[in-house]
Order: sequence, then structure tokens, then C-alpha cells
Amino acid sequence: MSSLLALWIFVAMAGLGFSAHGEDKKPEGFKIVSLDPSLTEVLFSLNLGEYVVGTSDLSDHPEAAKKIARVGRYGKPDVEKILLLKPTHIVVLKEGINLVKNIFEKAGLRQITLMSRDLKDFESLVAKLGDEFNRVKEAKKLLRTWSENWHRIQALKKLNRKKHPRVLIQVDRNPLVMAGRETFISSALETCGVANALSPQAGYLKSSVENLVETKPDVIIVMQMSEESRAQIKEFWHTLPNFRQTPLLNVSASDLGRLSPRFPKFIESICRQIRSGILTAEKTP
Amino acid sequence: MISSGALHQRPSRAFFLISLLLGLSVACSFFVGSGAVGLKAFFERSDQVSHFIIWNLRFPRTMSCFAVGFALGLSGRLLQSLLQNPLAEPYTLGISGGATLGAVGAIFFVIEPFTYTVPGGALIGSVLATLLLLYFSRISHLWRSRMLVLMGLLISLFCGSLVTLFLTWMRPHELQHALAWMMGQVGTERDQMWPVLLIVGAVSWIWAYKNSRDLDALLLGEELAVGSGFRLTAIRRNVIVIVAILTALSVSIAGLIGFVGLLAPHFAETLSNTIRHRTSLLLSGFCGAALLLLSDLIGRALGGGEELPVGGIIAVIGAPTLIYLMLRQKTENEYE
Repeated sequence: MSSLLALWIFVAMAGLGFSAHGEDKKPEGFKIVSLDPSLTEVLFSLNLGEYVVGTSDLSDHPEAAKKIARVGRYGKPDVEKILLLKPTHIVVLKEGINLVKNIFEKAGLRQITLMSRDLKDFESLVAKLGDEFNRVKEAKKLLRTWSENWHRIQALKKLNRKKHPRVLIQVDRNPLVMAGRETFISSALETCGVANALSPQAGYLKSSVENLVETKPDVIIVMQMSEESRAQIKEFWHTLPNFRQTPLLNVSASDLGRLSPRFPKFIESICRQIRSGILTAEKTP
Repeated sequence: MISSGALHQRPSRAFFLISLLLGLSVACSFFVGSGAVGLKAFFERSDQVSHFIIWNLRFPRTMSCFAVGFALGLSGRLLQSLLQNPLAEPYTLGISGGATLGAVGAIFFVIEPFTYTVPGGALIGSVLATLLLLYFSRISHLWRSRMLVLMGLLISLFCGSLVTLFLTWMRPHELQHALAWMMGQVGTERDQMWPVLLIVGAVSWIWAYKNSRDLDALLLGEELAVGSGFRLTAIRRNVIVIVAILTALSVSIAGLIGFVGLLAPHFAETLSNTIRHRTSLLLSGFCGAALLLLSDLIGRALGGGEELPVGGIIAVIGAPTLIYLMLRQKTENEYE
């Protein structure tokens, strides 16, 4: 009897063991192509990096993203290369897919088109990707961190309260393109009380030098998109009247030019430098 | 280059050569691309991806190149006869200027563009430019070739200046879209429109073939043709309308592609040694198709993973060829 009982217990335990084994997470089977570098960063932040099989050429963060197969340039995806990877999902921003947007759906792939124009869009984007790829917990954690970052940036308004710094944000040099209000960079800086010297002009503005001369900003933020050296940029701005003593803050376009999980970190750094007043024309970082 | 017909016309040989070239180009077009696809993928669905690539991407692209090249080649032949100018091409009458303005305007103004927004804009723009040309020509009774060319140039300049303004105001992704269109582009969803253009091209050729005698009369010169009883005004109007429709549809599908309409008739003439329209119309169409197919193949093969714009490739081939033709024309004129 006791041996029969022992046998039943053994069988029951074995059965439990098998079913537990059966409840192990099955491979999810995603094969994701990301056609935007900011989306690639978000996917990695949601622990989906191992499922990304193809990216556009500017996906350079994190390091592992550089090793993923390239499937065309931003805005010009190579449809054949993408299809040959046999992906399950294509993740893309709305502006990056004008000419081929119906082809992937026709090929039976799931295309997720997202918007990323401002900070609110980023939150929706993360939530949507979290839902789509069963990463709801990771998405909530990312958004929590995101929100905490912005609260911390907002608290920087108290730093040097009397100061109301104004900035110019150069996006590109040739042609000269400045970021006005309502761009995500400008909106982000407003969180810590840094105003846009071009206000109330909004959007990305192809400016003439004449338009800028009267603005008298406290700092000029230069996003380096081209090979132009820092010395050349400094020479350009410091030969202009009213800007000779204006500090320049050089930032990488891949850091500040995309809405990614890292974005608040760079904004915080810029806000601290500007609000603390450590920047001078002679000590340009 | 409207030279007199030579004794040794070679239309059969010309058709054979160009058909061979077309056949090879079409065949290669199915095999050139980002990924290798085998012959089996043509017929078997076992490799679904390769089968999709061939029949949903490369096939429409190939047919699109054929249809656009044919339309532009045919248009070029018609225009060079109409205007008695060997350097005339479909863009001489301002139609491409109108198409560009329409396309760029669509990109600029339409917030949520769908697949046919830009080609629709191009079509509307080119139709409006044509109507403008016809209207000014009619009210001024200025149907002579030189005046048509001048009118077309002025329309082009006007449209071009508006395009420049729009490009200045565009956001970066809109600008990228507009510039890609202006450089000439196949391999997009617009390739699906190829059946429409092919049918219109075929119907246009049939009309032109039936009226080839009247078109041959244009080669006599305006005064002689009128004196011989040909109704030039009606022919001019019909040719302009046909060229406008073919150009508008071509531009809607593939954007701005220059030089095809200019070069194709000259290649046809060189191959066949005749400018009689019964031969040269179809041959010019085929030469245009071959030129565009070859340029697209070169663009895909040399791009190194990135496709070179077909309009750019043709310009690289076209400009030196045009210079050579101009110098040759100058030499011929000196000897006449």
C-alpha cells in the first residue's frame, strides 16, 4: 500500500514537473525590422533587442544595434532586403514610409506605424509597443523612469531662479535651420525654464542670419549633423554681431535629435549647464 | 535632326535589335535586386518571399519602366516632328513643369497623403499646364512651333519658381519626398499604375500610326504642309493633347525623368535610318523603353545596396549624348 502511495506521489510529482516544464515561456517568434533609430532604441529598452533582425542605417544605439543588418536608409527602406529577412513586424514612424507603406501589409507583414513628434507621442509609442510585443511591464517601467526624469528636469527651474535663459537651437548649418517653439527639443528645454529665443516662431525654420542677429540668446545649442568642425562652427557664430560672447554648446544630433529613452538625460545635462551659468564664450564645452 | 531619308532604310534590323535588347533588359530586370532569387521562384510558391518579390515588386517595376519609357519615347518622336526641332522632348511644352508643381504642391499641402496623392497632383498639374498652353495658343492664334516652345518655356519657368518656394517651406521629410520624386523614381507603389499607361500608350500609338501620313507632312515644313492641304492646326492640337496625357501619366508614375523623350527618337532614327512615322513611332517607343529599363538596371546594379535614381542615370548618359548630337547637327548644317 505504502509503495502504491509512493508510486502515486511519484507520478503526481512527475506530472507537476512536466506541466511546469510545459508552462516555460515558449520562444516568442518575433522578427522585428525597425525603420527608425529612435524606435530601435525603444525596442532594446523593452528587452526586445534579440528580436530585431533589421534596422535603418542610423541605428547606432545601443552598441548591439550597430551589428544588426541594415535594410536601407532612413526614409528609403530597401523593401526586398526587408522581405528576405522574413520579419513578422515592421516598426516605423509615419514620416519614414511614404512610398512603400502598403507593400508590407500586402506581403502579409504586421506594420506598426507610430508618431514621434513630441514628448506625449513618445509615451503613446512606448505603450503601444509594449502592448504589441507583450512587454507591458517593461513599458510601464520605462515610462515611470521617463516621467521621473522629467520631474527632475522640471525641478531645475529652481536652479538660479532669477535667470530666465534664452537659447537658439541650430539644427543644421547648410542651409541654416533653427528649431523654433513647438519642436520637441524646444518643448523639452522649456520644462526646465529655458526659453527659445526665436519665440513665437514655431517649427523648424530656415533662417537667414539677419533674422537671428536681433535675438540675443544666452546660449547657442549646435546640433552637429555634418562633418563641420567645432572650430568652423565657432568661427561662423562668433563672427556675427551680438554673438561674439555667446557660449556655444555642441551636442550630437544622434543624442538630441531623436526622441529616445536617453533623451531626458541629455536635456537634463543641457539644462544644468545653462541654468548654472557655467557656460561662457571662452569655456565652450 | 530632321535629315532627309537615306537610300538604305533598315527598319527590320532595327526592330530586331531593339526587341533583343528589350527582351534581355526585361529578363535581367527580374534578377537584379537586393536579394538573389532563383528561377524556381517565378513559378513555385514554395519560397513565398521570393515569389512575392518577383511578382509584386520586380514585375510591376519592369512593366512600369517599359510603359513610361515607351510613352516618353513616343511623345518625343511626336514632339520633334510637331516642333520640327530635334531637341524637343515632352518637357519642352511646360507639361513637366506643371506636373512638378502639382506633385510638390500635393506633398506640401496634403497633411495625410495616401498612395495616389502625389501622382494625382502631378496629373492635375500637367493637365492644367496643357490647358494653359492650348488656351494661350488658341486666343493668340500662335500655333507656330517657335511660339509653342516659347510658351512652354514660360510656363516651365513660372511653375519652377513656385516649386522653389514650396521646397523652401517644406519640412525635412517632405523635402526628401519631393526631391526623390524630382530625381525620377521607380520601385514605388505607383508602379501599380503601369497597365493604365500601357493601354494609353498603345491607343496613342494606334492613333499616331493611323495619322502617320499627316505627321510625315510635318516634316516638309509648315508652309509646304499647309500648302499641300494638310490641316496642321488640328494635328498640332491632337499631338499636344496626346503628348500631354502620356507625359502626365508617366510623370505621375515615375516622377521627372528627362532625356528619354529626347534621345529615344534619335536612337530609333540611327538604328533604322528612317524618320517615316510608320516605323519611327513604334521604334522610338521601344527605344525609350529599352533606355529606361537599362538605366534602372544600372542604377540597381551600381548602387551598392542603394538604388541610384533612374533620372540621374539617364542624365549621365543623356548629357554627353546630347552634346554629341548637337555637334553632329552643327556639322550637318554646315555641310547643307
